Amino acid sequence: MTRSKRGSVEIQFNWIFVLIVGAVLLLFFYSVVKVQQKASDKSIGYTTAVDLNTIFTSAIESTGTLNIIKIPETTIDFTCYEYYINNVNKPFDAKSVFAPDRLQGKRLMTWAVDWHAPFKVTNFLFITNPEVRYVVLDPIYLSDPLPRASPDGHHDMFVELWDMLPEELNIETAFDDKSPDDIFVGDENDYKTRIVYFRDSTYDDVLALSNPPALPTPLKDRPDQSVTAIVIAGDDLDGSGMIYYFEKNGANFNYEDEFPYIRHETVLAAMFAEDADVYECGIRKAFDRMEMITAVYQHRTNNISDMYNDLGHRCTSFFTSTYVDAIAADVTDMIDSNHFDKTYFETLQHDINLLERTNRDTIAQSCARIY
Amino acid sequence: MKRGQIKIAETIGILVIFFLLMVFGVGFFGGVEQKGLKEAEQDAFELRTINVAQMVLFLPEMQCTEQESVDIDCIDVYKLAGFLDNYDDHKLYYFSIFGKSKITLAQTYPIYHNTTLYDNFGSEFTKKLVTNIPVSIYDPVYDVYRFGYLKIEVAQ
Repeated sequence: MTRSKRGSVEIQFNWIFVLIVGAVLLLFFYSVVKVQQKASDKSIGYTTAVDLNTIFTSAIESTGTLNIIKIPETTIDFTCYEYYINNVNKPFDAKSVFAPDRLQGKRLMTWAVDWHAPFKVTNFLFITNPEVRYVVLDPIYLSDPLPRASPDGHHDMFVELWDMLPEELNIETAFDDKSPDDIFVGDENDYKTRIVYFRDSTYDDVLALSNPPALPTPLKDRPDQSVTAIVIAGDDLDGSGMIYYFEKNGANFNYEDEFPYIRHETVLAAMFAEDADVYECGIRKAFDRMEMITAVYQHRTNNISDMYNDLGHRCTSFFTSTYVDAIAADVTDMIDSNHFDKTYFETLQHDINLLERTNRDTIAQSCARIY
Repeated sequence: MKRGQIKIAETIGILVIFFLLMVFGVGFFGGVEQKGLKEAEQDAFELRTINVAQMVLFLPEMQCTEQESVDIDCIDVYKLAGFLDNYDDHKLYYFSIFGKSKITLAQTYPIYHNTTLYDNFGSEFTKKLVTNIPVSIYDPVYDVYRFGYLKIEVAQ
């Protein structure tokens, strides 16, 4: 009896020992798998982030072409300064990048445009994907008599913008109307929808608050954060004007913020930017670059002027650098005051027009170009 | 020694051998991973070299332009002079895009002439990659083109 008792204690001890060792082994392998999974996620994130950095760097230089990039199924978060994949972040540095705050899926679309003011300043990179829907509304029937109709019967600013947009984007158009029931934009269950409205230059923040654009009825039941809108308020896409941002709140749009535009490239930037903050941040980066580039042009104009002067050349008069200096002063004023408002943009646009005219004269006179 | 003790000793022996094998396995796996990491590091370095080369070629501070069109692989000598003159005011910006590298413009025809555009090589680096890109160098006053190349050295 004593013997069999000792035997059973030994057997029980063996079982307990095996159980403890088994549990330790299981824990060990579980933690190894977990660590490996984390490392693998981070490694995929790192590889994708590095690859995307190269893609973005080359995409921003290949202007005018829309690139569709196949990527591993992942979520990429964007801010104005950096992007994140699996907690790995990569900075955009001084690049002006305009994108939604989050993109999910297996494809990315990049599209870059040169920003000229009037000389090339920088490139804007727009990032989106086919799951983000852009609806551009033609305001032709908003008022009576019909405003600014182009030869094909559409509003001229609408046509100008629509013609610029690559067809590979998830874009569509409809007519704008005062009644939300009469704006025929269906609910396609899109993850994000950005609606673009046009108004003339008389539209201001008071009107933006009291008279926001009408949210198409079929989109009223979409989650609030999935539908946003901008109003392009101006008389010329290649002039200056204002961009008003709106967020959906139930069945209506609420005015959020505003920031001016100058030339059509910045209008496109406003369309692709998540909100007014991202748009403003990208434009500020562009103006920092403009200050640097304008200083180079000032130097160049002075040097060419001296050279022509020494040669007693007839072209000297074009290189007095007055207009380049005026643009430099506009940009420095804006940056120093930290106040980017419509008036500054109008003055800058005026000086840009003058420089464009002088540059055309240099071409007509077979002189070196100012830019 | 009792039978039970022998069994426990056996089990412990097996466990020791098992853990030894596992340590070897983990060591081997770590070695393979490290090799992969080094390769990835090399790839990233090569990609950075390509990025720097691209950034130099597309710098609006140097590019030849004709109104709104850009002449690729061409450097305007007057813009270049402006860039060099303003460089000190924007060192940080250029460091953010070129990092640890050296960029030289070598004019080879009609006369040989070297201009250093950017030099932030430092004294400590493990390796460097050199890329030469042929470019034309434009003088807008005389409307003449010269030949040369951009030498881009990126350090790690």
